[in-house]
Amino acid sequence: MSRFVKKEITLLQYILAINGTQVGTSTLTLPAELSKTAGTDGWISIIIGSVLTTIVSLCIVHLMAKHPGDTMLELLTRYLGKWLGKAVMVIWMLYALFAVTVILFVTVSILRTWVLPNTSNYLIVTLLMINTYIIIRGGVQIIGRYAEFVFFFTLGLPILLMFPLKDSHWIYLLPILKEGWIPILYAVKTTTIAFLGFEMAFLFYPYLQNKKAAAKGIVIANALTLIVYLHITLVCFLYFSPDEITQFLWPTLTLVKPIEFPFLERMEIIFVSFYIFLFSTSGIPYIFFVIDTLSQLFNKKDWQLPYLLLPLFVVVFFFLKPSYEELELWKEWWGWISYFIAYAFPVMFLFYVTGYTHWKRRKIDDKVG
Amino acid sequence: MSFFRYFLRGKPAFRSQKQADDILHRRIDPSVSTNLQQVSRLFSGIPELTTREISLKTGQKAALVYMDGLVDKTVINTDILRPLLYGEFNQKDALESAVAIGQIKRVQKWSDIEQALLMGKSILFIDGHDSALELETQSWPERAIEEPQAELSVKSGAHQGFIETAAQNIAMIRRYIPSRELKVKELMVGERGRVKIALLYLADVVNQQALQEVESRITSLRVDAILTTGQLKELIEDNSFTPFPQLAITERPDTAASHLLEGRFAIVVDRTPGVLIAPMTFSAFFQTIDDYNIRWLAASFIRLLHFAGFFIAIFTPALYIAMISFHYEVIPLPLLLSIAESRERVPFPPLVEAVFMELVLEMLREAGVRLPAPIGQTIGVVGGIVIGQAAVQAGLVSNIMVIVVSITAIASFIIPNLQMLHGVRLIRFPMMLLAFAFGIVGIISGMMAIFAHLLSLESLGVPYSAPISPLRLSDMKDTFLRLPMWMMKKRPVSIRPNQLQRQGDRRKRREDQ
Amino acid sequence: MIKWAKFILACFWLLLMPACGDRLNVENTTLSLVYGLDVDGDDKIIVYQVSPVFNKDAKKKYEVYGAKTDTTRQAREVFNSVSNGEIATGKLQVLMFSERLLKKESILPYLDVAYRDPKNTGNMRIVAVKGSVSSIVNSEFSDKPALPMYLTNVVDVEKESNRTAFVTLQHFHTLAFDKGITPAISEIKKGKTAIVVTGSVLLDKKARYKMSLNRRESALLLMLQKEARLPVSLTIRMPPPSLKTLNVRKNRKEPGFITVNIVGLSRSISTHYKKNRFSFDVKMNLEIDLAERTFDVDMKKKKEQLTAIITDQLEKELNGLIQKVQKQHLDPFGFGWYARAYQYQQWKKVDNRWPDEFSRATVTVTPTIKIKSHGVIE
Repeated sequence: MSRFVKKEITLLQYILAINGTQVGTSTLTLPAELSKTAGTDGWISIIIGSVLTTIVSLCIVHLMAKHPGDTMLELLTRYLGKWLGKAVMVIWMLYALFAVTVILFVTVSILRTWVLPNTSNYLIVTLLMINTYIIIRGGVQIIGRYAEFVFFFTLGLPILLMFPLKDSHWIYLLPILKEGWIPILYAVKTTTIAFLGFEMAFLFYPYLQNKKAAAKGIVIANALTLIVYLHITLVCFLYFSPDEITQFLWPTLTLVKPIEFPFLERMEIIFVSFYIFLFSTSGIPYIFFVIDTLSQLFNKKDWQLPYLLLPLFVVVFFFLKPSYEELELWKEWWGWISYFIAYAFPVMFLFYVTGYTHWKRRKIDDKVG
Repeated sequence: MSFFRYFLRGKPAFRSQKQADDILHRRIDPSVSTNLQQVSRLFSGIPELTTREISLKTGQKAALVYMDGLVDKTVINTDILRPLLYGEFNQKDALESAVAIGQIKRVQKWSDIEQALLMGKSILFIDGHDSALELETQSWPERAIEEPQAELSVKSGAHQGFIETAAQNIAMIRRYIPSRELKVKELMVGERGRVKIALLYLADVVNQQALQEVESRITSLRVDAILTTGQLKELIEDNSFTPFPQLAITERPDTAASHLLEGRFAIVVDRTPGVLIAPMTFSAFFQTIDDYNIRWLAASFIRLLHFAGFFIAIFTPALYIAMISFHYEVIPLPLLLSIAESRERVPFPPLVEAVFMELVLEMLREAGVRLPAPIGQTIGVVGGIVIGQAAVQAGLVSNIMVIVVSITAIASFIIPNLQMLHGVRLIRFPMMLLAFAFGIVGIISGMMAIFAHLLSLESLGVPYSAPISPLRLSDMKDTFLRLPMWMMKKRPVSIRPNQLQRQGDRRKRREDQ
Repeated sequence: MIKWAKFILACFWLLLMPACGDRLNVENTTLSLVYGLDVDGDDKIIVYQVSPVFNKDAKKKYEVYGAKTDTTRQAREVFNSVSNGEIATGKLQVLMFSERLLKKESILPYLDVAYRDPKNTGNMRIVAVKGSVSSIVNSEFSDKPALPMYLTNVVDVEKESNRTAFVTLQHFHTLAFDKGITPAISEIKKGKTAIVVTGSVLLDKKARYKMSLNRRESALLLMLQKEARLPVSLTIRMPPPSLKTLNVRKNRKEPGFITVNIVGLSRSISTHYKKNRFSFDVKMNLEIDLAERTFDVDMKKKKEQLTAIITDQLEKELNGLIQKVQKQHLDPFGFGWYARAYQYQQWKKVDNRWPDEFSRATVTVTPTIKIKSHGVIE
């Protein structure tokens, strides 16, 4: 049993934690991005994207399943040697740090645009950081419970999104495959970014109680994310005409705007507020990954120093105020980097590991035989 | 000169604890008079100590020592002194055959004798015997059994409540569970005020690790005295820095028994009517005994009301402040116009208005608790209606605010457990501050913080937020809804009991017939 | 312990920071409920706003401001200079444009701020005014509720009666940007004793005024769009020859009228491309209830004839409306969507000038009517 693993999470928590990491900022912008490249056939790209993601996730699970007691760092050092393993881990840590920074900036920018235009950035971030601290202190167990809880708590949001369907026009979707397959495949580039978060399976796997169900779990998690994205995209495509949806930066929120209940109007304010929960489940595993990796790299258990990262974020927000275009650029960079780190690396590493063990076994066979 | 002092005043009491300790470790003397002298030295300054010297029929001298007020005088006179003075007894069987008391023990050490006397037992010294008899003659003023005020059962549940004697309380619980498996572990806690703490549990059901944990927590306590169950609760609970209680206190034997049957511990503290139940989860605080008395549909509705009350009590004032300060667009137009009109006359910002009204309400509540019943009720009515109305007329608060505050108050009264109620009352104020500072984002942050906190709490190793997260589907039958009794076949899985099945299949029995 | 002290200090600092500039108590706002845009002699526009007054001591329940500016957003600064509280447009109910403005230029630039500002509601009703906007905002009717509410209610009631094309801001965005449809909005004018909804206004692709439809035509338009809220009630005039066919027993009024409630409406459109033009076949199945009949006819015997006559009338009116609209190079019905859905290749060639293409298309509407019930008398 590995030194740093102390607590366990159940299968449902595992599924919902990974799902929570995946469903984040993309839900609000995905329909517009898709329609720019693939028009109303973009929903097919989502399905293709999810298949790709599931394959890569299964690679990750397969990798970790070879040595069930290991954390990611231990697995890397086992196959790549001490220094190369640690170097790869540092790269992953930096990737996670970049990811959570982007997520934080996007969250704050959405909050500032839609709900609180005049409040300073760093105050919002302070609030978020305090909550993050409470959750991270408890370790993966609390993250798992929190993700589980948030999932059930925010189940009202997809239901809310069904209300605009009474003004929907199915005819917007026709004809299917109007421009052929090429734009759809091109748009898969966008959807793969939407599914990012599955790489946290590296983080959650060692804590999983029932490791044999990990593969099933991650397939379910990806399927859940797929359903969420399909739901949003289809509702947006049905409600907005294909020519106008490209005008909106956050079509999901504009969708929710006109919904009226007898006791509540302007639902997008409430929607965005509940959405903060979903942002938090996206960002917190990444932060925890960074802090956990730091303590593993320096071999200190329960090290308090990495928690200084949280106030550091507040300070960063005090000074750095990116514009909307700069944020879009950062998101693109994240997308590009994630192709190498989150998508390519597990597959290549799996090949390497399989090849390595195969070669080693042959060597032993040769020696023995 | 000191010689005269000694002569006149007799032997002085022990000058220091050390001298007393010396004696306490020793055994008694065969001579009654020496023993009596020791007793009077130990108990100097305590005039309730009564000594009765008797001559037995055989001519031996004996002495009966007891503390007045802690003993049952009838028992002493009838069952001890009378047989000793007038009855025949066998010399060989010694004294056990003489006295007609149920429980007799032989004691030899002074420490035991001192403790026994202080607990209300009588000690019989007999000349020539090197051990004394400890007789169970305890009796002290007790209250009649009546229903506890705070946990009333309106739907024909039992109307019994615990009283201040541990033995009676345990007896009441045993009436509900006459089972061999209901074990009682007696622990003595406290240096100066030694109190008997009884740990009750069902031996084949309860989780063994939890049992050891509870026991070790209680035995490791080093305190002067434990006067109330609440004190014990704070001393052994997992996290004291939270407004939420992790252990429940109940004054009803049926509640305690049902918790025992689910696999929890009941800790009976002598001298208090409150029994501590451990471990508790968040949803367990919303279960009342009446829920199981009425039909399941009504019970489910009331259960949901309890949960709704929790959320309403915490968030309503904060939501009000956030809505009218930051996000007035969310309120539908006709309501918004009337709110704006009524708020226009109020000079204070919504936060000040809200905090002011809430504080007044809290003060009214506290005042109502302390005043005697008739005055308290009048104050409640007067305070609620007249002062509220007058404040609106004077333009100090808007009438919407009065409605909000009253809804909050009513919602908080729905919460069944008093400790949870106190927690809720506290949390309201930071939520209002957050709403004032950040609007609905502040409320959501506060909500997140509360949920994160609840998720990370543990009560004796059991996650506080089970069965909601981690999700335990079989427990959900008794969380938000109360499904019919015949569906609840298992004990709550969250507490990790050893034995899960508590009910058989109802249909099987029908078929057998 | 120190950790707790730091935490509490952080909390205090957080909450007492004056940087919460978003806080705006609702009683300190001037809640704009109605905005109106008009044009005057030069190139500037006049923006009006109507907001309720919260103070109990004020005599009038609402206040009206006007400002002469270049853009809609600029007007807000002018209003702020005279108003009692900060202007808040989050609850705007009605956005009015005068027809003069609509005829002169496109209103899309003026709507830009409405879409760009996230604090705006998507449920603003877009309304055209026959006449000047100031006539509406300065109108005072003593027996009606306050102007903002009254205006909103008038438009809403007509929406329920299906006599006007009801369009919210969100919906207008679709209509304006979608290549396959042209916008249609409500039209009101100031009457002698009340504000009157006169029907609908059809705009072209650039959101400029093209033609008006009266109330009856608006009802037909809604039926063709399938946006009508059932039941739709129509009074149909019976042509004189038909009365003979029906063997009318007693005619209580010359000429005969029949009022029907359309309780069921289903529409199917088939799209074809023949002879270098689009052709649309609209089949409408209507289920109607008889609401009023000013002549006596034997229902049992003459039901089919009555149905045939009503069908005939409706067909004439529907086709007539479509041709009238086609002549103006407009497509408020949404046929463009069907063209795009079913004839995509052809659509792609003309999508940028669909209204022109539509004017060349052949549209045939064939209603089928079934009389379900006729009230409680024969």
